[in-house]
Amino acid sequence: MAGIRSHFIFRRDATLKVRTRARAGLMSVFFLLGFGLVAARLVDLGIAGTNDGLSSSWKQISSAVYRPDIVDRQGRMLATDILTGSLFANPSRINDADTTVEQLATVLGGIKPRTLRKRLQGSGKFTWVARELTPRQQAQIHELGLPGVDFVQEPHRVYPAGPTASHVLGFVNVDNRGLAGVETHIDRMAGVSASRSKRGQEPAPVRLSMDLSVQHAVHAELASAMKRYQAKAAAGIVLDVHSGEVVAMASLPDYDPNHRKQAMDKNRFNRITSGVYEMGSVFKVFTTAGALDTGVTSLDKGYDATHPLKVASFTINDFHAKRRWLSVPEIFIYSSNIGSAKMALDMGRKRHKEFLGRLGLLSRMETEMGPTAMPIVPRNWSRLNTMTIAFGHGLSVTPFQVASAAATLVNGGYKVAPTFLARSRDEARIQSKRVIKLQTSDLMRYLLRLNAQQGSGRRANVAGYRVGGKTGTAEKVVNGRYSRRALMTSFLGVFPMDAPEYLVLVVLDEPQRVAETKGKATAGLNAAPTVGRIVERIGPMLGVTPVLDRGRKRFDEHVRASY
Amino acid sequence: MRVVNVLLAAFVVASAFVIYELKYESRALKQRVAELRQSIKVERDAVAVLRAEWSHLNRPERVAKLARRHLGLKPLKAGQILTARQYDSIRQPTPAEVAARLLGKTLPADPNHTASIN
Repeated sequence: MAGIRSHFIFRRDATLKVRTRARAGLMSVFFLLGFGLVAARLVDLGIAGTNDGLSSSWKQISSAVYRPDIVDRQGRMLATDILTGSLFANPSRINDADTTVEQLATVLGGIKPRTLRKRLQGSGKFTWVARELTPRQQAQIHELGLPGVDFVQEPHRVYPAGPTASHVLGFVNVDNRGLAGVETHIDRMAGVSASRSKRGQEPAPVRLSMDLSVQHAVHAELASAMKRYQAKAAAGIVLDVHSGEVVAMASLPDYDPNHRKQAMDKNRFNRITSGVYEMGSVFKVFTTAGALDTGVTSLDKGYDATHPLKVASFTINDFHAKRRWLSVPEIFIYSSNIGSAKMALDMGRKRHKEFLGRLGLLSRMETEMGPTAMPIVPRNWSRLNTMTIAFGHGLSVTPFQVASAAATLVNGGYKVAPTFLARSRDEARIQSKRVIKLQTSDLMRYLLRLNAQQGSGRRANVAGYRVGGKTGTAEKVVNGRYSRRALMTSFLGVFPMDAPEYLVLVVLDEPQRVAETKGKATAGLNAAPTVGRIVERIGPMLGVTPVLDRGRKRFDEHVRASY
Repeated sequence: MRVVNVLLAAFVVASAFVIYELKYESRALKQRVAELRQSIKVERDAVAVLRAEWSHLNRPERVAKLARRHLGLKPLKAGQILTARQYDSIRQPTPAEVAARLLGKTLPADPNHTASIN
């Protein structure tokens, strides 16, 4: 009010100098500006508000990120994040570190008292005590009522399907960062490890090419094969030969990704992508395909397999020796080493090596999980190398590469990059290029089917699914020598052979001569029937229509009884 | 002029009051938003747990075991799959036969129906 009155005085006193008025005017402008600013700030605060302390503080503490879910090709959940409690301590607020550690040790089994005590006695305001506690442990610690320790809720990765898909999924570390399998791919994908995503803001689920039902069938059959044949390890992969999708991949012994410590066990590594093996006779498919594709041989040609092949101090002999001339299909179904070696020699070292390289057998193969193990390729590729590699010795590759290369042989000749992510066949076709002739692919289909009907792959030939394939029995190197007892058996199966869709490769490590296999341990007696059993189970899941031979009872009587 | 000033003063007081009211209202709303956000997060986390549990209980390994124990089901064999054409060629049981099988006893034949069977 004082200001208003003085204003009137101003008006009455006309003798005041103009200068004073100007000064007063200037003053009032300043005041107006000043109050205007205050008012504006008030309005601003009123509307925008300050950041209330409502956003909980654990996000700053926790370094764990929410990861996108992983689902199988049908959308079934394979990995997700749930919240679990973790315990941290504020050392500056802990008075008695000894008692605190003592009390905590009663609840937490796995802690090291000495290191924890040191951490709690140190300076600083934050240290982890234990992470990923069970709800029960959390409750018990809460009961202890210790000062200076508190919980935070952190996202924690869980794998609901357990060990079934472990080698495909991989696992994560305590901070929810991918350490193996597809989880590493998710970390490399933009926006996962870069930002600390919150619940509801995590990227869209990652859809795999894997089918959980097929994966389970493969996993279960491998487990039973490992037991039945008393093998050290069993591994298998199912590949869509057109899209390159890995529909299933298992390697036993495996681990439960929910218990990441198990995964560190050296024996539980992924034999499909990380192990390199001399694949034995399975390699004859590549030799034969190479010889056919380069035109050095044809199905009506033959090779003399009467005598063992002597090179330097080596003698190449046949396991199922026929001691006569063999036609190319006979070489294939009797799995003749002599014939295959001669076929490779006909191709010549250079072309043989080039052909294997074209199929991707001589270099690492990139996948979403990172590169496969490096193949062991002879440094100087000699004539002898070509001869032994023709029947699968002297070159060690991952089963993953064998599956991928074999897919090319049966899918019409296209090199399709295998993938663990869902992809359509059309999409794959655009990205892939032809590396062998269509005709070669057709001939290979014929040979593989023939081998399953008359040759070493008979036990893989389950009714209805037109399986074709090739066995491989390789002797493992024990103490620097090939051992007759330690075998590595494998079977490369494809079905249905009239129009191939899926490839199944099974590898057994040191199967024993059990009664069921008539005291033998060759691939035709263990790996081949395992593939057969797998095909029989996954065929219907993958929608492959079985065709039963004419004249046979077409329909199971029992089914009719179960209307 | 005095009237104008008094009016202005009254306006200032009134608008201050209104702003005060609005501000508190908005603060309450903001709190509500935060609460809702938090409860959405809690619900989302709960949903994630339930979905994980659902998937865990539905894992094929367990379902296969349960099916074997309680349903007597086994993996499908090729011989159990028929195309529509093959299905046509098989004589189908009459409804009476199906009912009899389900009930575990034979029913008197239905004269109307048996006539229509080939």
